[in-house]
Amino acid sequence: MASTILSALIAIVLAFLAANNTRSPLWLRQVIRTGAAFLRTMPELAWAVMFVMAFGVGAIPGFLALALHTVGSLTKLFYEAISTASPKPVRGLVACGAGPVQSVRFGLWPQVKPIILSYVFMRLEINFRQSTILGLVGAGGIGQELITNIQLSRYDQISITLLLIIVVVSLLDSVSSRVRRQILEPRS
Amino acid sequence: MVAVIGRSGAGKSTLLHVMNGSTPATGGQILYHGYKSHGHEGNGRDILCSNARQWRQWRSEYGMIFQDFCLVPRLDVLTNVLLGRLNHTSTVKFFFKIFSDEDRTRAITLLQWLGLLPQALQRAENLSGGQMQRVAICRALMQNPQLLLADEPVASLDPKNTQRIMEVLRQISENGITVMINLHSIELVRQYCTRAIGIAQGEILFDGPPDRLDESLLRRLYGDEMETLH
Repeated sequence: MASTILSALIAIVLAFLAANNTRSPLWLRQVIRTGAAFLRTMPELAWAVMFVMAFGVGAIPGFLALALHTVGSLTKLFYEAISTASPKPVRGLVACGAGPVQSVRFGLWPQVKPIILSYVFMRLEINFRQSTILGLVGAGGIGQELITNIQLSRYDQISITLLLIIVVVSLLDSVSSRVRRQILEPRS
Repeated sequence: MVAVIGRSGAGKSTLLHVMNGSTPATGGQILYHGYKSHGHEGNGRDILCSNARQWRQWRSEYGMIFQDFCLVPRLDVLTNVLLGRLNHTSTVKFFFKIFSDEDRTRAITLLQWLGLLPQALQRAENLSGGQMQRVAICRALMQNPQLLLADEPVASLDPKNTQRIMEVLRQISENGITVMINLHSIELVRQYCTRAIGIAQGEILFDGPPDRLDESLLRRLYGDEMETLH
């Protein structure tokens, strides 16, 4: 969860700098887009194996592997969403004397906020499932617990761990849909 | 209240867009707070010679109303109106939507004046076209402008809302704010405006009171679009 939240925050900033409609310089957009493409091209498992070799077995390799891949994918999804936002609110704000930051804050952010939140929750779900796989290569997290229990043939613990994963994924799904509804539904 | 008239493509909207900097000018001058005629130079400044900061400053000095309203649909009406104070509040305060009591009071007063107080906390996306245009007028007035630019503000409205918006604009001009409005309806120009400027292919063909607009002049201004005029 920590890696998803941190990655989402970084991806939001990068996405606004990489979008076509935020008046950021072309070279910066190109650099961010290329960097994001590189981060998401490498699978989490490959990152995890690399970080396990660098930092040893533990939570850090898993955290970094998930974070890097998530930054790459979310940045791409976010800047695509920002680029398709309506230019009208921005036009209205610029006519009021808004600068680039103000235009983004009030012209674009309210439009893309629900989409961004949707993607973050979806990614949280994916990362939670992914962390179980990363644990198998020694990258920490719930997967580490699972593989240890499998190796020790503790079937009761394995069942509980699997049940826990199912419960958490369902819980995340219901929380995300509630939050989304809260944001999307117009106030009367 | 000054109307800019002319057929589609004559340059009415382009003129306003050049004035607000969204379309770059290819030449000429825009003099504000001054004049330059008959060899006499006023102390006005040429807007086109502004740098980025001066453009932002200039934009905060006039209000702009668009045909498609250009509100932020997911923000409530009150916040949309308060966005008119964008250039008068620090960026940090604005970022966290911290508005002064004075600004809030003014926004509420304007909303009350235009009959929108019951909708103040509704999202702008839930309003009708006429209501959205009135919110846009409130936002423009929050800037305390001396000049109000309106780019075909009634083009997408029904007749009842058209009359209401034009009436509001007339009241604004009677309160001492110059309103420069692009209109396609000669009837509205005659009914509400005190001066009309007719342009064709970027040239001024007429500048005077609307009652002097006769059939032959309108034919020169509108050409084959004449039949569609009302």
